[in-house]
Amino acid sequence: MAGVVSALRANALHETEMDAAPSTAPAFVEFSDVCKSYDGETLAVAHVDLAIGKGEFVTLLGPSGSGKTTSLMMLAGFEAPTSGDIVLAGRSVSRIPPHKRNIGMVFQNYALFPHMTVAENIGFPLSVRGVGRETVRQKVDRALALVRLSGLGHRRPTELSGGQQQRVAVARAVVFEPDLVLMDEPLGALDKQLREQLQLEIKRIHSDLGVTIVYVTHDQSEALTLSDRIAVFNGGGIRQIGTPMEIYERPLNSFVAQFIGESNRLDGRVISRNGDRCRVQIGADATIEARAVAIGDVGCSTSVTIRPEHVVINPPPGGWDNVLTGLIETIIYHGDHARAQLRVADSQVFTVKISDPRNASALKTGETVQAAWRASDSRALDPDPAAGAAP
Amino acid sequence: MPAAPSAPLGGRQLKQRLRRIQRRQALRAFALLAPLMLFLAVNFLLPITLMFVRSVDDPDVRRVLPRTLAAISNWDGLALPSNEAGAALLADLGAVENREDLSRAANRLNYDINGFRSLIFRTARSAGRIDATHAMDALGALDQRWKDIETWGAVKRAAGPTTSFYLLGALDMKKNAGGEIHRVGSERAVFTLVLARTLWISLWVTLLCLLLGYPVAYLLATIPSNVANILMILVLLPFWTSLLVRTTAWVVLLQTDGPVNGALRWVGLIDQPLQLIFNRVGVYIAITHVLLPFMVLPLYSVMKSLGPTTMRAAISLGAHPFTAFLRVYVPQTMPGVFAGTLLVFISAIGYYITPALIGGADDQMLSYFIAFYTNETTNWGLAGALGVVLLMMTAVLYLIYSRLAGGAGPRWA
Repeated sequence: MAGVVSALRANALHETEMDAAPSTAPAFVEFSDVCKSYDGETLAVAHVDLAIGKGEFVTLLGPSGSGKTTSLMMLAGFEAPTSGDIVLAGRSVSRIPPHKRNIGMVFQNYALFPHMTVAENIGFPLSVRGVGRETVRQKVDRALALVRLSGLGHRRPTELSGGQQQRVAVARAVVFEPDLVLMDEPLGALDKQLREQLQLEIKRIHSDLGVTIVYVTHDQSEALTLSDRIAVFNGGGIRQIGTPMEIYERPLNSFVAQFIGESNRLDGRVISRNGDRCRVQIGADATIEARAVAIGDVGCSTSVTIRPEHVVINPPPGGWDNVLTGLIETIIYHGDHARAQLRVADSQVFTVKISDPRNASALKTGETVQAAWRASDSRALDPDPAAGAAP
Repeated sequence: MPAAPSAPLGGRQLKQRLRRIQRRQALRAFALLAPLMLFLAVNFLLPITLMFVRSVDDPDVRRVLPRTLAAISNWDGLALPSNEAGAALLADLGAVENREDLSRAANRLNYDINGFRSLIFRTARSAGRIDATHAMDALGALDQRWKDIETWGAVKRAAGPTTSFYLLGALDMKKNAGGEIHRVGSERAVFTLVLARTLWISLWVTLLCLLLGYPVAYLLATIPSNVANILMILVLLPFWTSLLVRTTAWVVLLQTDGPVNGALRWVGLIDQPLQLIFNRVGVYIAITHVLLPFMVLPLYSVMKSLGPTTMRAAISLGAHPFTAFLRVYVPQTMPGVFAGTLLVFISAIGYYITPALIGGADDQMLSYFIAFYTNETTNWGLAGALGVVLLMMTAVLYLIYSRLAGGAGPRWA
């Protein structure tokens, strides 16, 4: 088993070196082997290594309980690491109390001070730093303009909508020109439309101010939209770090492949291996070819993942590495596209995205069709997402 | 075929239906409230109304001395009244048939001038034997006091049917025979002193409760709920024992040879036992103990709803934890502070048993005197007037307070 794991690691490293451009920015924030335990038995955060460059927008993405918020809280100073070290701007933060870290923070529930006006809220970090009244006023006005709330400074937070309240919280977190801004699921309480609008605003503020942002979310599309790089968390550790495109196009393990976007998973067994390609037996009499990303030796089980948009139904013959016969179970019309759900290779479920939904009208439920894709679009990964979760 | 549910109703018909439904809802709400309303009317509104009436009602003297009161109705109170007044008094006293009525009237006059009761009975006994033509001289001969203008002033003040005598008395004031209001001499001025003392004690108790209760409520609101529940039971424990038992327990604890003094001496902090009971210290300790939950509970309920994020936000924005506490946490707890202090202060104002059992003579609060005049001397007029003063004082303070509290106060304040 140890052999298998090391083989998986070796493969993962191999691909990382090949595909991911190494980050050239010097580390501004650095987690070194950080662990956090609340009960002394299990690790809420397990051996996290993470380097963030100055001016970078890094998202910690993961399901709830994956350790992403705990990591953020350790960076903010509200939790202390059980072991390991966090370095901020060249200094270990373990001795710096949270109020001296010069970090702006935005919370999911806004955390505005209800007894102060909007302007007083935004001016708070300045006034506790002893900034003069007139300077405070100017900076608050500029921050209000930045989040497009000019003229609302005299209002109380409760008189604003949720989206406006979160803009105030963002303005308050950046008004004192902090080295680092932390955002803990800031858009979680907003509806979809507002969320997308504010995502754009946050991205704009990031590029306007050039500030370093560490952003926590469980919403993968938000992470893809906003980030320079994404760190995917699961089970207390980072499963993969990379640009949104790397994470989406080249997942290194089944967890990342399943968590980010939609993936078809075909479980099978490696029957041969040739360089970066391998052949996998799925079901009784079907084999497919895939990129060998994170697999063991011949005979080991594996999960092959294929994005639904890379599969073609009833393709023109020739040129396809993999063709499987499947039975159409359902066809769902989504407006701008359609989805067909097939049963292939001993009744494994398989989804195909049909980009032009008008083509779907030719298909009928219960019909037998051919599903085809290129080997380079499919990736043979570790067999079980749970195995990917192990540190 | 059934009518379609969307069939339009005529405008009138729709309004009628709506009104019928609203009427039914109002009726239901009233029926649910009615038992409590009845209870409050009988046990709360009625006694208060009676107290108001008692404080201004003055029927006793006019029943016995109608002719006398008629004779002095236009008297200016500057010199002794005319001979007719004396004759009328003799006629009235001679005509009394009901000893009970005479006794009541004598009591009422005795409230005004000490010794008036015996004067009335003495005069009544001699009334038949005195010649009415020189009534004033004869009365003066019978008793010197009839030559005093204020004696007649007292009679006039008791004319009824309503009087300001009790209410003025509750404020240490009095009308003289000429109808001018003046303060009574300092040797008789007790009630303003007692009122000030009542407010002073209540103020200190409120401050002590706030000082002791705020940290407790903060702890309760921030620790894990299983521990908080146990501590909350300890906070509520005073509610589960009777007020009398708790108060007498303090007597046992605080007495000169009690465990508190014993412990202090054993530790070596004091050589001589401290006087902790039958003085102001004991009163403060006991009332604060009883009222502490009324401070902790509103504070706790406000603090529980706050959560840690605003404090965290303030600290992350660069505020020292202490600054964050003062500028962000405390202002958000102000509704709880206002509700708690209001509850404790108003409860403390009416305290009676605790100071009566634990305090000394100089620690009695206004309620003690209300009870005293109700039970001991049955001077219900003065008891009612003191009650009115207490009620008015509470209402005025409440109004000032809710004005000060402004938006930060509880919605109902």
